Amino acid sequence: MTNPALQITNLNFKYPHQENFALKNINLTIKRGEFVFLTGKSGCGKSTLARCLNGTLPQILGGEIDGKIQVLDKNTRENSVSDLAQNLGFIFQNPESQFFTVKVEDEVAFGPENLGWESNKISKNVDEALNAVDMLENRDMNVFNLSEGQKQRIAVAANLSLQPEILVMDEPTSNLDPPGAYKLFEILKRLKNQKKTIILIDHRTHHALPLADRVLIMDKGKIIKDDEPEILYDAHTRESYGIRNPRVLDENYQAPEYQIVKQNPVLDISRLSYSYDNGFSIQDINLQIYPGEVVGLVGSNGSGKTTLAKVLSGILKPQKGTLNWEREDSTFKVGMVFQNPDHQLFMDSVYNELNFGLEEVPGAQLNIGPVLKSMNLEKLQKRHPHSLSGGEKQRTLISAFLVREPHLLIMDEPTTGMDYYHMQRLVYEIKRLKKRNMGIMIISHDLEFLQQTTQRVIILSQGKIIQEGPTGDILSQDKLDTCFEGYQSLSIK
Amino acid sequence: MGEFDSDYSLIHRLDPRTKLILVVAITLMCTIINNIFLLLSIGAGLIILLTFSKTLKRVSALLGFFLIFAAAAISLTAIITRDINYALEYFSPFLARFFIIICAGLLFAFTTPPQRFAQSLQQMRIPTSITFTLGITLRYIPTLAREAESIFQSLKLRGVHLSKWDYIRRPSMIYRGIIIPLIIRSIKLSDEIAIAAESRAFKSNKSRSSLKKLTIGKNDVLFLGIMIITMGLVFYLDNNPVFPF
Repeated sequence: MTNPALQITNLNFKYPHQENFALKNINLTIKRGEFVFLTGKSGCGKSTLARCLNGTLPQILGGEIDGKIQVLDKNTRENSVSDLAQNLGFIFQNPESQFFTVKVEDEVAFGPENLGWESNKISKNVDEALNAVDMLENRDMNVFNLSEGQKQRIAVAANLSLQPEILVMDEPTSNLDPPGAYKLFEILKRLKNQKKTIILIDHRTHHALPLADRVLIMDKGKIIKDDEPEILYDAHTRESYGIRNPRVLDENYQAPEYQIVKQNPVLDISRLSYSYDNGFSIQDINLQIYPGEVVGLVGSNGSGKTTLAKVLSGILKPQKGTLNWEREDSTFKVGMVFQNPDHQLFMDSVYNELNFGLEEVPGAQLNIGPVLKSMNLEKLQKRHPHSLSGGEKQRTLISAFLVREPHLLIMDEPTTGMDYYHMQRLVYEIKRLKKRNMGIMIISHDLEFLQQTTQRVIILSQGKIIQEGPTGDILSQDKLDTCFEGYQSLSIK
Repeated sequence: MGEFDSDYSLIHRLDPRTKLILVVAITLMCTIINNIFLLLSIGAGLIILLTFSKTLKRVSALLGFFLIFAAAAISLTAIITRDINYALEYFSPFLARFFIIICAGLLFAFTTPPQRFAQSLQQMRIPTSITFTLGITLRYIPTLAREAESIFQSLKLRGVHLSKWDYIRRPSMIYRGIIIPLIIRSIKLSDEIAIAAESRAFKSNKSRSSLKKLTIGKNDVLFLGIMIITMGLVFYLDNNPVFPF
């Protein structure tokens, strides 16, 4: 009988300066060539477990570990992270933060170079790895000129060049649009057929389901379920453990009647255009957003969604066209919550964060108390914003804009890395925000979330609005291929 | 990061060691040369190289800032002393040398991919711990610049529009609004880099091999030859002035 790929025995792990264990009594055996899908609520211990597998925890980030992890023939407590790299490749959420060079072939060669291999062997491995991810023709390209999907494929190749038998991927599709995610899963399917052992950690269950041999569900640091992939179709299990629906569009979804009164838009955009130096532009955008309306903005990466949002929010100045606000006289017109809230938090407490910069907005300080209360932040008002969870940071940021009473609130990919439970909480918050009679624009690839929050969806492609209409009409299975180029890929199952 | 593409120009394709020799030699030479016209000629030569490497546009803001500083220093001295000739004589050699060193440094920095620079140092048998740290520092400068840009945009969104004067007028806002978030992001990034490097078998105490070995090619020899001849000529002219000044 062959040895398993991974064998975990009585594993417990505690982060530095924490009282509670992040992993509790984990026992797990993964066979060679198995595709294991690991999911569960945010903070349940998925990423902690992944980081224990390659020794990052506790070797680099510290912590107390108890128990044994055997990766093929190597024990993680007796081997360094570097020593384990040839057995186990590790791919992160953000590929750009793991790039050390600017050229594709150099990046893929980085690992073999660290092992001191001969240049001929490195070159052969680079070719094979790039071929495995369909990126051989991009060998001489600058990694920063690639699309997000291509960058993630290079991150996979950069691990494959070390020829590991096991690949651990921690939310690799978080920054990818649906076509990019589909292409990545096509490659994973091929790697699975080549008998690689793959451990995929993700909230999004749609693509993983057809490939997975086993599904592990974690909760509060424990593996609660170790089952067949079909368990993800069980609504009760999904709701109990905060897991997303593998069907991207809810088959029971009843589109609400579009009831927006099309009068006095908070924002009326006419023939808006903006061009970058590199030639990319958004062109001739005509759009109205009405009070109390939630509008979804979808399209592939690079279709111009974020550029449009930056023009609306005043970060970029439009080169052509007009933006007419309902109340031109007010000081503050638009708030925008970025995908990464870390860039937007400046102060040492939640209260001070809401108070930050308010001297320019007359009367806004009076709103702090009511907003803290309505956004359920009263108990957290003395906490340091950077010590909060992802959802709490997002709420703090939304509140920081709410005290300024904006006409329009824009949210850029608010559900990145978000489980079902936290997504539902955000859906609830947005439904409450709607009652404030401001406009809300949500930029997202997350169609399940858009289905539950928006009344209208706009599709952007190559800088132009190609379609718009009530959510029920646009987000239907037969029209999905118009949302994203290549969206027919959803038929993977 | 497109400016780092190695086939962007002939200057980009030169071995980093060749460019490093140029920077060191020019820095040493301009401390010895006294003739202001020769110093200005060296400066003009470097501007030609920057143009040739298609990086002049990218560095023009930095050079412009230096030229404004130089003009201000000369004007202020001329006003105080009421003697423009004295101000020019006093400041010109110093500013010309400074200009040359900045141009040479920018030429190197804007035409050398961090990876190739680190590799060239590695081939010069500098320890991996130093070459890797240097390579990573250069590689992450654009990343940190993007992080800083996002932070500036976030401040703008909160109605905080910082001007250049605010660096002096509102230091606490700069500290709170820019430096603290940038430090927090840098710490997070440095953790990610450490994990990513070790996950790909990096060891600071172990020497690395290379996919492609850097070699001094014909272009490098030609470039170094022209450089040596030009420098020899400059030294000759400095010691045997043919100009009446």
